[in-house]
Amino acid sequence: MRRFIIIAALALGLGGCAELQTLSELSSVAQTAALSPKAVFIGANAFDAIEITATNYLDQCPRATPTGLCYGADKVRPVIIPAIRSGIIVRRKLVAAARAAGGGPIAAGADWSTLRAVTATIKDILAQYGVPVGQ
Amino acid sequence: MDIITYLPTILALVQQLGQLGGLTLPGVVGKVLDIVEPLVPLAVKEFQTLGPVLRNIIGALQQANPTDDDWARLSAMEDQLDAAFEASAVQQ
Repeated sequence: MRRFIIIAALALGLGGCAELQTLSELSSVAQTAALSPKAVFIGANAFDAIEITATNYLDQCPRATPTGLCYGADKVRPVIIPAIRSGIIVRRKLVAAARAAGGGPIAAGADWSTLRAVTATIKDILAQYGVPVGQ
Repeated sequence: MDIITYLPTILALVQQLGQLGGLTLPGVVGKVLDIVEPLVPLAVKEFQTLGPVLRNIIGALQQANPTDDDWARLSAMEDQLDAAFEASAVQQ
């Protein structure tokens, strides 16, 4: 537990780095028809930050406990596991599309909506159960 | 210097290089990957500490317009981090 708290603090500290400031940046990326590569990487990095938090949570909380960090694990795990799996799939597709576009814009379709929704869902449920989630 | 100190130092270097435009110089991403790739299995073992650091390194390098070969190496590194999530997801 102590180690998890230290690491959560570290993750929050790393929020100062450009790549993990993305949770707040993501909300500033407009829902537009075309996405710049920068917007795609912001979305991907925001998801990555959530995936790391989720991975650490799952490691620490294989099952619910009466109190403490893991008390909501029976509610949190069934939500975040499929959500992260969906997010991994669409993140790969979006980043590959941005790469293939060679610096040009890509269409913001269902994958982008899914990535944003998944990131928000996981962030919300972790926050609801008191798990620190970067910025 | 152990990996818990070493990898964040590499991240700091990568971020400095990125700010100075040095990551887009030919061969630089490949050289960084030569250093980081062997550390990935160790980083995955220390995921709580080093997972965020490794993700940041990968993200910075992905945005540096890497070659196709370097891109494939970055994707393989990312796959290992996704596998760490999957391992955590299936544990009971």
